Amino acid sequence: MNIDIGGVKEFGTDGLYENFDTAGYFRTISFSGTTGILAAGSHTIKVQWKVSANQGTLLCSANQPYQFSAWSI
Amino acid sequence: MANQLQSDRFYVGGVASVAVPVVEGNTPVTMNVSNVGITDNGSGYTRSGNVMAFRGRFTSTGVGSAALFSISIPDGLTSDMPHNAGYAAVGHLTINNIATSTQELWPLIVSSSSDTEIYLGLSDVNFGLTPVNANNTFVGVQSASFEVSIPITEWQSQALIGTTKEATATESGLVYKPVSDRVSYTTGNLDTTSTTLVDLTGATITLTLATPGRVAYSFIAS
Repeated sequence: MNIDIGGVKEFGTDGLYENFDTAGYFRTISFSGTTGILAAGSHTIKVQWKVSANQGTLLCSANQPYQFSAWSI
Repeated sequence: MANQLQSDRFYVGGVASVAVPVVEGNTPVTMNVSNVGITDNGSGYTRSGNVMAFRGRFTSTGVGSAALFSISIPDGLTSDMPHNAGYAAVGHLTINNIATSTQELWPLIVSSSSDTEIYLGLSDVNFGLTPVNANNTFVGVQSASFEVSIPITEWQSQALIGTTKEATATESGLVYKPVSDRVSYTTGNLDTTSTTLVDLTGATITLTLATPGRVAYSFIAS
């Protein structure tokens, strides 16, 4: 998982790493952070993800959504 | 002597103050306040007739001498002014005895004549206290302080009751709202087989910062 702000990755090239060593096991994925000083103006903040191999699934439903929030501080 | 007080968030009714030493002598006292911003949450201050003001207050103790208390807002109005906004950018008041009472100046008042959001941003406010007696000298002053606040008049506060607001400690409402957004994805599981970073569907937020600053973020999923 990674946070992309205007093309700049907050957590390096690969991002935060979770090792899913057993297929079919569930993991909670939650993280938070704070950026450096951003310039005044518009900033697009994205969550990005990838897998090292095989397939990753993020469970999303009305009862089990993911939530992503961002706010100025 | 110069003192500086910075704040990037103010609440209606909130106060920021700083004590400034005033010593006997002929050194004027100045204080600069920067990044004072007030706005609303889109519901509390969007009705006609709302008025916000920037207030500067000076208090002192001691057996004082005459002084000139002044506030200037040179060019720091950073907001788009609301309808029919009016302001006086400079306020000054001659105090015959600076020890006698609290002195207030209201150098800036904004008002709205229609249902529009009031936003007031000040990037540079200067307070000054200059001795103006015969010798241009402070005499007998023991302490002094400047105080800035952004009050709203009582009836206008009453107008907010029943509306949504995010700070209720003084029934005054929130006057600075950080830019924020949240997305919640509920429409079905997401899969990826990509071995390079790709955007997570729906997890995009665009914030527009009025001034440079940090952004906090949070992601929760299972």
